[in-house]
Amino acid sequence: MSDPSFAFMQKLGGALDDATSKHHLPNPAETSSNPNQSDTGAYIRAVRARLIELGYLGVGKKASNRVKAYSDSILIKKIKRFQQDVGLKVDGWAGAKTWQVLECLMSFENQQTLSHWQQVWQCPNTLQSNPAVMRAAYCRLYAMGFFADWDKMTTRTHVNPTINTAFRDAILRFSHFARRLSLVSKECDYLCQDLLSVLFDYDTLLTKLREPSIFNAVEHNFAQNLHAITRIELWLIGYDIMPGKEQFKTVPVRRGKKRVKKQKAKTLLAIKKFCIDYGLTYSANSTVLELNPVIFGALTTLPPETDELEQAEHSSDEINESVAQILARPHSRQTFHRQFKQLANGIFDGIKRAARWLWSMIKRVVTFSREFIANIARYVSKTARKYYLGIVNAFDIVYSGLSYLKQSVYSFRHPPNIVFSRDNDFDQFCLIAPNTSSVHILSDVEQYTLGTKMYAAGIKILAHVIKITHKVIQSVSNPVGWLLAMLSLSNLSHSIAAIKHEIQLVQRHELDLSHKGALFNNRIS
Amino acid sequence: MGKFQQAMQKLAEGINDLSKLDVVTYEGSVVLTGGTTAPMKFSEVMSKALASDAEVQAKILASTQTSIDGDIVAFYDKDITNAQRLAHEELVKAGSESRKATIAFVKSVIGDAADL
Repeated sequence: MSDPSFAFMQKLGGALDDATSKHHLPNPAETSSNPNQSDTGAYIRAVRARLIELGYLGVGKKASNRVKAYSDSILIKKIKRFQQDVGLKVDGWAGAKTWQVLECLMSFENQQTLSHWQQVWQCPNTLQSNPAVMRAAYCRLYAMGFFADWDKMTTRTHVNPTINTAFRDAILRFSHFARRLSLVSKECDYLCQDLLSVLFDYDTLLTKLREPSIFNAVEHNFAQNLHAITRIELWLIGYDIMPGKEQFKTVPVRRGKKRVKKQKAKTLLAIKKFCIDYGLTYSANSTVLELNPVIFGALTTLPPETDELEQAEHSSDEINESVAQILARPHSRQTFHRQFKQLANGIFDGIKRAARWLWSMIKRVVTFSREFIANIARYVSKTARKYYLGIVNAFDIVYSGLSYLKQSVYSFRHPPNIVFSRDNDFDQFCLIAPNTSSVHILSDVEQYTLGTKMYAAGIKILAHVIKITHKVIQSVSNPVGWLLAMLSLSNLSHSIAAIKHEIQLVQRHELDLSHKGALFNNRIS
Repeated sequence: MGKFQQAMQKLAEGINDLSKLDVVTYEGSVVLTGGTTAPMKFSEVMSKALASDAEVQAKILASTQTSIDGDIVAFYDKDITNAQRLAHEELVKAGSESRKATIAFVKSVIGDAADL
């Protein structure tokens, strides 16, 4: 391909190699056995987080929730184990089905009932002894604080209640709690079907706590668990708190004229904020978390019904009048300013959350798009590369075939006893010396007509290549650039098949490479 | 103007007359002094032959004229050998194939090349 006319093909090949080496395009020669390669990093991160919560993955250095987690062989192994436990197809791919089951087991947000599981999951009948379900139950009991040594717990290894006494005690404690809530008729220290239903039917459990008599029955003995349940609910509706053990926040407080920093329980701070936001009374100076059925009522009835919103509507004149009355009193004005400041903080906090959510969504979409395009490009470049070598061979033939046009007189022996000539309009002339043997005549004619065949094949190939090039040039002038170029190359399989056909036809002919006047110095391969 | 466009134009200019294909086979003594690979004008050789030049003495063994509409006029000398006849027929075939391929090429790509 030394002819400058074909330099663009060399550039194309060079650009392909360059793009592959810089990882802009995946290397088609590389093979991957990773079933999660097509999933986005964000999705895999979410899967990993749930597997960590279920105890399938540890929270060590190896299992940290990395963005490129899909390349982790440990993750695939653990997904397979989870799939095996829950009775799904064991392929290591965290697909839609696997995700759905993970959500069933882990979500506090969507109401989980065993009958619902049967619909979406076709879960095994022996749910209470299923390893994955036991892990999920363990996780729930942990989040709701039913373990006796909750404060000391760091890792969990055995989730089978027959060998893990802490787990068995937690189940027993939860069954006490459920019985006080009138959700089960008897207590037990194993995961029976009824207890499992109550444990995962979180909304029903929460609704029971709205009833004063039931709340009073559990208020003292299960205070730690009520606090933990409150944290879960506040976390679900977006307050700055996490489920699990109590967390503390360092806040500045005024002591005399000095401002000092003090650790405050996050649950207390969040519940105060919640009460202000929802118009409930809660002592601002209280240092102890005090829950009541009204708070659980407010937590379970969010958001307000439409009718309530309509009833709460006031005219702007009424509001102005009320505000004027409030501002007229110094104490009320101070309270109003504080509440207004808190409201403004709340709005700002909400905007920050919304912006963060929006940003994470954009990042997810970008990550998804990039990986989606990379997967298409991976396929396309593999196909295009396969044809590329064929095109290189084709150009050898085209180059040789076109050299047929450059010479006007051919002779294959010295001294020449047969001379061939061709005009621009393909008129053929042949001059044969007297007494030339028929073997020589036929041999030279064959040599000459091979050049003609090469020309015909070359020109057909050239036609197809020009067609491809035309598409490629049209594509690369596009903003999407090389991706479309690759698509154009791979989509023109018809042209490439025709080129391969021409190459095969030409390759059937034997070339006399030893002759010094031969047209070809290199064998076509 | 793109290189392919230039090439197409040059090629199109080169193909002056594709309506007829003439194939002529001569027998004669040939002395080529320009070397086997040096370009030379076959018409010059033949003009010398027709002028009964001492260096080149040739007679027509076979001549075939093929029109694009399919008419064929062929002439064969009575002394032509089988090998010479076969060589002539191969040349007719080669010329026909080249012309056909060129016409198809021009028809198929000239439009694409014009856009480059």
